[in-house]
Formats: sequence, C-alpha cells, structure tokens
Amino acid sequence: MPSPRFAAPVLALTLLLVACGDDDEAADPATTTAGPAPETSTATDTTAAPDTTAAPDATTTTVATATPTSPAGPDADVVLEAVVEGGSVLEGGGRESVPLGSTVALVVTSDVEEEIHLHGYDVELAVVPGVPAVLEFTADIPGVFEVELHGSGLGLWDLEIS
Amino acid sequence: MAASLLAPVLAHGVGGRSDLPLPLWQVAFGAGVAVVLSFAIAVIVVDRPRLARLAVGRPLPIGLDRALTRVLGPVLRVLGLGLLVVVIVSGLVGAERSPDFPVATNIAPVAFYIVLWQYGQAVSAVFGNVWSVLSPYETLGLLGERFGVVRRPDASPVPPASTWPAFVGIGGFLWLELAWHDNTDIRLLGVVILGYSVWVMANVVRSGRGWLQRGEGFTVLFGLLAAMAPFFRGDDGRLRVRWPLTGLALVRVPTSTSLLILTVLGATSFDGYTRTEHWDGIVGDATGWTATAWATAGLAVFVVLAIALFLGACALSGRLTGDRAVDVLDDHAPSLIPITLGYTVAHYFSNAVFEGQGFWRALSDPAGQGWDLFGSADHRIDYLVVSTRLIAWVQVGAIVVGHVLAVLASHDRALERHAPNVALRSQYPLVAVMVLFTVGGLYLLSG
Repeated sequence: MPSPRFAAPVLALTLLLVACGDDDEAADPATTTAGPAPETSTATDTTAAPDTTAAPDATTTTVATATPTSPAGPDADVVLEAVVEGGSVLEGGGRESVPLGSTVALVVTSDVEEEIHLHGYDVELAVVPGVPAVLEFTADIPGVFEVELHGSGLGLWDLEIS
Repeated sequence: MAASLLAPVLAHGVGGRSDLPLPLWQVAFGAGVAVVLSFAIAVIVVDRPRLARLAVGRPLPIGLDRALTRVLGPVLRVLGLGLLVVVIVSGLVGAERSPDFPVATNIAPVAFYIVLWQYGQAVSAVFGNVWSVLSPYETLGLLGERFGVVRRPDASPVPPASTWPAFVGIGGFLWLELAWHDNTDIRLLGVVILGYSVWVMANVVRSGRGWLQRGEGFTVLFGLLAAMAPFFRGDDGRLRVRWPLTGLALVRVPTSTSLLILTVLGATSFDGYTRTEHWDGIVGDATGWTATAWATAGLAVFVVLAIALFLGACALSGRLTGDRAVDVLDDHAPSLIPITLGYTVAHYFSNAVFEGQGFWRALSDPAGQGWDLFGSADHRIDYLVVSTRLIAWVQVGAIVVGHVLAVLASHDRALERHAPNVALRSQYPLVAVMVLFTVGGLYLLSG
C-alpha cells in the first residue's frame, strides 16, 4: 500500500451521480474527497470544477485530490476501511452498523482497477490500483445497503443504517 | 464497465437495499401472537367446516361485471401481451441502461423479478385471477383458437396433461432469481423468457389452452393465490364476491402442486437467509459460478427442508387418522398458501414498493435507448415513501396473519374429512409445523 503522499496528483474519479430528481436528495449523497477535508460542501465545490477529466458517458465527473489521510483517516463520523488483494477482502468488510444521519467515509484499497458501488444510494467511485479511494456520503436513507466492487462482483460491506 | 453495472444493482434478483433486521422483541411478539391465536382457533372452531359454504359468495352487480369483463379485460390482455413483447425485445437487443440517466436500467429484470413475481402474487391474492386475462399465453391461445391453430376446448378431448411442468417452471424461475449469479443479464433474460414462451405456446398448440392451468407455473401459482381472493368468476361466468380465504376450501391439488407451494415457501425463506450474516460467513468471498454453486446448494437445502418438515407432519397426522402421508399433503398443502403469501409479503413488500418505482422508470425507456416516453426516465427511487417502522410491522403482520389464516384453512379442511375429535388430533402435527414455519420466518427477518 502506497504511503500517503501524493502531494498533488489529481485523480480522475468517475462518480455516478444519479439524476438529481429530488431536491431533498439533491444534497448530493456521495462525494469523493480526500483527507481531513470537511464534508459535502467542499466536495461539491470540487465537483463544480470543470473539465478536469475526460470521462465519457453520462456520468457526472468529480475530482478528488488523493492526499489520503493522516492515520486518523478522513473526517467523517464513521470511517470504514477495506483492503482487497488477489480477488478477496484482506481487511474490513462484513456487516457494519451506521447511525442514520451520520457522515460515512468508505476507504477502499485494491490491487486492481475497481469500482465501488454503494447500492440504494446508487453512488459509484473508481478505484485506481494501490491508491486508497475514499467514498463519502451522508447516511440519510435507512435500511441495509450493500457495498460491492463491480469489477469482481466482490461484496465488501453490508451497511446497516438505522 | 457499463456491462457490469447492472447486475449488482439487482443482485438477489431484487434490489440492493434490504430491510433492517427485526428487533427480537418484535419477533417474540409476533411469534407469541401466532401461537396464542392458533390455540384459540383450535379450541373455538371445532364443530364443522364452514369455508366451503361461504365460498359460494354472491354475484357482483351486472353492470360492474360487464364493465370489467368487456372493457377492463381486453385492456389487460393488450397490456399483458404488449409487455411480454417489450420485455423480450428489450432483453434481446436493448441496452442495459439509459445513455442519459445511468440509474435507469433495462426493463427486463424489473419486469421479471419484481412485477411478474412480486406484484403478480399480491394482485392475484387481492383481486383474484387477473392473470387469466393478463397472461399473454392465454391471449395468444385465444387468438390461436380463432385462427384454427390451437385446438378448441370443444374439440375431441385429450388426456389430461402432466402437472409437473408447472413445478419445474416455478423451480427454474426461483433458481434463476435466487441462485444464478448473473441473474440480471438482460440478454440471457431475453433468451430465457422467449424460450419459455415458445415452449409454453407449443404446448398450448398441441394440447389446447387448458394446458396452461396444468402446466404453466405462473398460471398455477397465481391461480392458487387467487383462490384466497374475494373476487372470482363462478361456473356460470358471472363475477362474484366472497369472503377472502374461503375459496381455498374448494381447492384440490395434485402432489406436484403441493410441492410447488412448499418450494416457493422454502425459496422465499432462503432469500431471507441470504441476507443474514450467517450466510455471508458461509459464502465469504465467493463470486461468479462459485457463488451460484453455493446458492444452488442453499436453495436446495431450504426447499428440501420445507418439504421434509411438512411431509413429516403429514405423516404423523396421517398416522392418527389412518391416511397416507401424500394424501394428507395434497389435502392440506392449499392451507399453506396464506403462509406462502405472508412470507412473500414480508420479504418483498419494501422491495416491491422501491423497485416498483424502477419499473415505472423503465417503462419510459424499456430498452435503454435514451427515450422518455412517460416523463419518468429520470425518476430516482424514493426510499423514504414508507418508513422502516411501517416495513417492520408489515413484515410481522404478514407472517402472523398468514399463519392464522393457514391454521384456520387447515382446520376447516380437517373437519371436512373427519369427526371433530379426530380432526382436532390430526391437526396437532400440522399446526406445530406451521408454528415452526412462522417462528422460523420471523427469525430469519431478525438476522
């Protein structure tokens, strides 16, 4: 796992932002940020930055500076980490309880290119090999939601949000 | 990347959101109520069978009958047949998702797993045998009769067809939904649905439209659920209304259908079980065909367990009355239909509410072409329409009510066969296993 110092490199992260139909939910449940940056607001700013990537399709593109994290990890109420190597989950995963309304950061490191998908909230985040990807969201929908890797179909967590 | 997006969204055949586990106090409450009510039924309802007499019902007003039969019926036929065509075409040649709205997925999975399976069962139990007009196979069969392709009902009789194809059909559907790892692959769904339709229609052409009631799994299953409904068509062709549940007293089933009912019960339990940590612990990181193998084994265990438990109770009951276990099974399996429905509602209520919105969305762009026919293509599923508290009570309520109705129906059936004192004794093993199903069902919801 690379040491946490990518001073500047800007990672192009494709984030599947579902159409903002509801204004209630327009407060953008998932954002990718790095490090101790505060939550949504900053990230939204990042999103606003234009043309930073060349991602195709209809997905909204967002950018995250990967300055992963002092050992304390991102500044969220709940921080969960997982390490995936050789097609299996080495670290983390399983059922996790998350209080409704808290901010959550999912930190995933994979040895191959992957894509994290948080079901229900329908947010996705690309993972570059060896670089911890941080998917942040606000747990505002109750229920049990799977977090899955799309490439391998590997299940990471079941988040029990209540 | 796009190719892999869809599958996990509908993993389990049904959505990536599951219900919160029931708290244990709620499970204990539900189980307690079920047991107490079972005992009360046994003590109070002991003299004679009543349901069959009530099942006669009374006719609906003739005007309403005509409106439903002449207007709503044809509309539903067109919708049913049209939807089948749309689903097959979308599955075979459509895209997995809309180019404009990435959450808007192809109509095939949601139509197959949510609308056909979940809404099909619920609608049948509430409104009666709507499938008899919605079924595209019925409609195609009727058209075939008109054009002389399909044997007419009044033609020379053919020997009754086997009822096992229905069992195999539903078993295959459940395997696809719950065990096959790539269960939302739209191409394969397109091929499966087309292949199934061709096979069904080949049988209809050969044996007549009546084959559907014996060999087509959804027709058989929905027909059983419709027997619980307050609306039905009498022998004279008039639409009639009766107390819910009472129609079950008139249902006679072959062994294949008894096993079909228990298979649905076992499979629904398995679906609940796969959402527990226990199952995660067993399957671990398995993906792909390894996951399919595990799920196939798990599904088989649950189905066999459901069959073995109930057949065991039937054997015990038969020993008390001098009947063969299989005869008791076929006698009492229809009584399990309310429990099966209760399981279905408990496990799929929230899913139907949430993913049903995905169907509404998919109608606007069934084949992922970037259309927006009804202005719903960008609908985002609203997970807050029903609260988690309401979902939990619907789950407990469905299982307990299903249990009580099943005990009532089974008791009534026993009284048709035996003198009250014998009937009561013959019921002990059956009620015991129903209590087991109910407590087990609630327990799975707490995992």
